[in-house]
Amino acid sequence: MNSAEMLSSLRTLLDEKVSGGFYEDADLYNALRSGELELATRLFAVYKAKTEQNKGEALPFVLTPLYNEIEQVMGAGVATIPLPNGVIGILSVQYNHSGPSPLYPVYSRDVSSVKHFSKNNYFLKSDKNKNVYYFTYTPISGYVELETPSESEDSLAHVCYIKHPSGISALVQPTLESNTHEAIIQYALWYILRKDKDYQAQEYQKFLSMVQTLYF
Amino acid sequence: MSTLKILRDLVFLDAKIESDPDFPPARIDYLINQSQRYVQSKLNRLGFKKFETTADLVLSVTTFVGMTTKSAAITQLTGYMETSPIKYINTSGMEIINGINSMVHGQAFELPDEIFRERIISSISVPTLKYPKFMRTANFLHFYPYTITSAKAFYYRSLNDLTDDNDLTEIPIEFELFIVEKTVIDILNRKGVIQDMQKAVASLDRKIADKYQETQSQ
Repeated sequence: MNSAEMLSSLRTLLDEKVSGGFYEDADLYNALRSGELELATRLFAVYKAKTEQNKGEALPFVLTPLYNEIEQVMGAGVATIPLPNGVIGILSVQYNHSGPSPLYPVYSRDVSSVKHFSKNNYFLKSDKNKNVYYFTYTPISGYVELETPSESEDSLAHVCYIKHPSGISALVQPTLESNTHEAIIQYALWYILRKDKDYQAQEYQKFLSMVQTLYF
Repeated sequence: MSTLKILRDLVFLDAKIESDPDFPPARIDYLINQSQRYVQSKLNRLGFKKFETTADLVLSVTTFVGMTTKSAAITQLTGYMETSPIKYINTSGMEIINGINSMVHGQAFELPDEIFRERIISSISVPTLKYPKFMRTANFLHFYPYTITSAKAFYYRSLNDLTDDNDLTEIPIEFELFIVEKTVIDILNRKGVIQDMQKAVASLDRKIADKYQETQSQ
């Protein structure tokens, strides 16, 4: 579906006329935008939880349109990689502190207080001599912080991440594939009803069921 | 034979911990070295001979509970694998036989320390140059009879730990995968995946024994 068709479907579910209805287009598009972001965020959270148990877990297919990469040439002494606004989560980081290649995978360090202990652990500390690197990332900071600063002008870092959807509007089509649109509309329906203090818990449950189905 | 990097990469694949921040290479390497010792220890006890080595001992006169013995510091066994037994020690000493001063050779086997003294003071089972005995205590080897003049120990040496990616394991290729399997068991146990660690280890021990039997019967 395109964005106009999604809008029309949502209006139908709300028993609305196509035009001149109770709800403004802007409100409904806002709900659809929220639905697309909520769906992407939820699927990514499920994916991250599953990777705790199974490091070989593949990225859900529905999230592939949101996959993005950046590469940064790190100057000497630099240890941070700024990320653009609108990042849902980091998939992987690769880095070489002493040159542009080869790039080595970087381990993720927990951002909680545990990191202060594990950073000094004999086995879990960064070791530039063996190209063992760690990074931390918090969405609030907006950048990936490497524990091993670059030692070369041309050392390279590569970050793969999941970005926010572009946002659904009259002019911007949904980013996620069409098999997700029903779930997005379902969320938007609940969102709008909740806004009107019409708490329809079953509508939200329907959305959650759709999310589960969409994870592969 | 496999390098440390090959073993480590196999462990990453089999335990599915490629990007697990709790199991970086340093920790995997430590566990691989522990597993290497484990497999070696099992092979030694099965009768595998590759890791046998010898040392000529310098003997000193000493006393043990009032009895004169000959002793040698354990440190003379260079690279000794302390968790493995000393196989035996070939000894020799001079004894007058039929009026002639003769060299007598013997092979000393270890006695537990609680019965060593009992034997050397006994008039019936006292060790002789032909059937000497030794005991280990406080990092010393004590020999009886004290007329032993030379001793050559046969023991198992420890494998060197693998530290560099290109270091080769000395475990024979037929048993290399057991290093990986033992490491994976240790990791999965730490992650709480294995329900019965003892059963997993017992199964591994059986596989090592069966493989050893298979190689001996070829």
